[in-house]
Amino acid sequence: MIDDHDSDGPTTMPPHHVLEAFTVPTLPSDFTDRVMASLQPPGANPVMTAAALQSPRASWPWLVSGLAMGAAATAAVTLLVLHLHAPAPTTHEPVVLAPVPGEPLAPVVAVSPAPKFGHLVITCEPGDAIVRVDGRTIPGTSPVVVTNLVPGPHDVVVEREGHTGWSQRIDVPADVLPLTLRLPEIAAPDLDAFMPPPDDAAAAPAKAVRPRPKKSGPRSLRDIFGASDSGGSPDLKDPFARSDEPERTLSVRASDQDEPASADVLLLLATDAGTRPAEVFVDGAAMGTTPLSTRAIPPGRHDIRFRWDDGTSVADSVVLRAGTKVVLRAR
Amino acid sequence: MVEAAPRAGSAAADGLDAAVVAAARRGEPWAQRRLIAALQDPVHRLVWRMLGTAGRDHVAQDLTQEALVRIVRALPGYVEGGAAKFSTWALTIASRTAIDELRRRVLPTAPPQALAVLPQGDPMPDLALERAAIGDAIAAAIDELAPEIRATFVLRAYHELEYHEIAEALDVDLGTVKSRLFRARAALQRRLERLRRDD
Repeated sequence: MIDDHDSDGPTTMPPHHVLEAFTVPTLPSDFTDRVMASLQPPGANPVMTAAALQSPRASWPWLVSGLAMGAAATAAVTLLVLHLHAPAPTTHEPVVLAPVPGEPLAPVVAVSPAPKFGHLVITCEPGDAIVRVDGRTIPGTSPVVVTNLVPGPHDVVVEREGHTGWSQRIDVPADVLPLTLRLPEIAAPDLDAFMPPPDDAAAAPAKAVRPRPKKSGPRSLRDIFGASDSGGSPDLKDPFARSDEPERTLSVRASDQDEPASADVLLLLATDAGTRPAEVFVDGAAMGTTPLSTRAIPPGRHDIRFRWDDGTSVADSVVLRAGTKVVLRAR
Repeated sequence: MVEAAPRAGSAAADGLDAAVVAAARRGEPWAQRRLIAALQDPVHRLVWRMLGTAGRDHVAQDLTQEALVRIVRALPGYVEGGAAKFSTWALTIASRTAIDELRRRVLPTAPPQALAVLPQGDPMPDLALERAAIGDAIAAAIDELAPEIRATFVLRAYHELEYHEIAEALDVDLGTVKSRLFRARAALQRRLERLRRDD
């Protein structure tokens, strides 16, 4: 092996297989324990070193320690026997640690993780994702460490605005389980795909829809103002949903139209990728099947409904402002 | 969809999750244990080789233990994503621990090991003996070197640090790193040549 960085001198580094002849013995199996004991504060436990373990003159303190440890072991066995006959413990609350720069960490409430507990280390790209474990939202945002989980299946959900969420049932072992995720960004809709070709626009004028009076009854309000982009946070399927019917959601995104000031509303209606096309009704009138685009809806409040062939539907009442481009996407 | 995407130079790129390192910095025992378990073998290999023939018996283990304790206690000073990789940062502390020990006291060098005890039925006893002899020659060559030169050689030959990483680890300039490596290789070459002549 020639050390490429050397430009002077005749000597070169011996080949790798020669260097590896200088072997290193393996460390004893309890070496990690020994180092951990060294990290204890002074006076807590006697520090074990290889020299101390080998020295006969150092054996007396170890003998005393040994007797004490023997007594402690006997007591521990007794307690264990009593514990085995005790009622089952209640569920252990997972302890959440969300590192916040500059802030001192709150003391860990639970005992230091014992081998019987599992721990999730969740890192996400991009960061600052919201994490939920078994339906409980973890304070703070990723990266997070969730400790003291009972080993077994746990439902984990990771969400971030503007990105496709992730959810999965994770079998957490009695160990540390790192979970590294990457959430893909939700692509902005290809608006050109909704625009009819110029020829078609002349041949098939958009349907005229007469605005209908407001209907009474409970409805959700979705006011859209100016150019603010609603952001369109992803609609995640609820992993805990018990219904067999698919959950239908409707997202609304609005922005100013790119073309010069226009008094009408450019309305784009579509379903998410992977969702079947739906029939669209505006104020009760059928508009057609997605994807649709229309300039025929006047500004104002309108009832929009997406209906699928399996009978499910989603509806909302939206206020459309003049000169805006509105995308309604259902899944 | 789960993908591992560690940043280059980060603790995660060294096989240690950044969150574990962060937890160890906060003093959480489970994370410290995991960190120690990941670092103990490379640190031990560095220390053992830097000690040369004096690394026998308990000296290398005790020094490894001391280096790991220093590493854990120095964690608050480590900057995630900084100039040094985490492993390089840890080996820096380990090599300085070994240098301090070698300067502090003169460790007795062990005589060349007798013929290595080979397992019964070793299929290639001659090769094993030859390798053991080469290993001894390398250890003896390291015995000739000053502590800083040992560290330079071991970090380059066995841990494949770049010149600038070694310079930063040992707080010297590039020219010093090169001259130290030159001297280390010269000592090694002499020992290996002697071994070949003796054969």
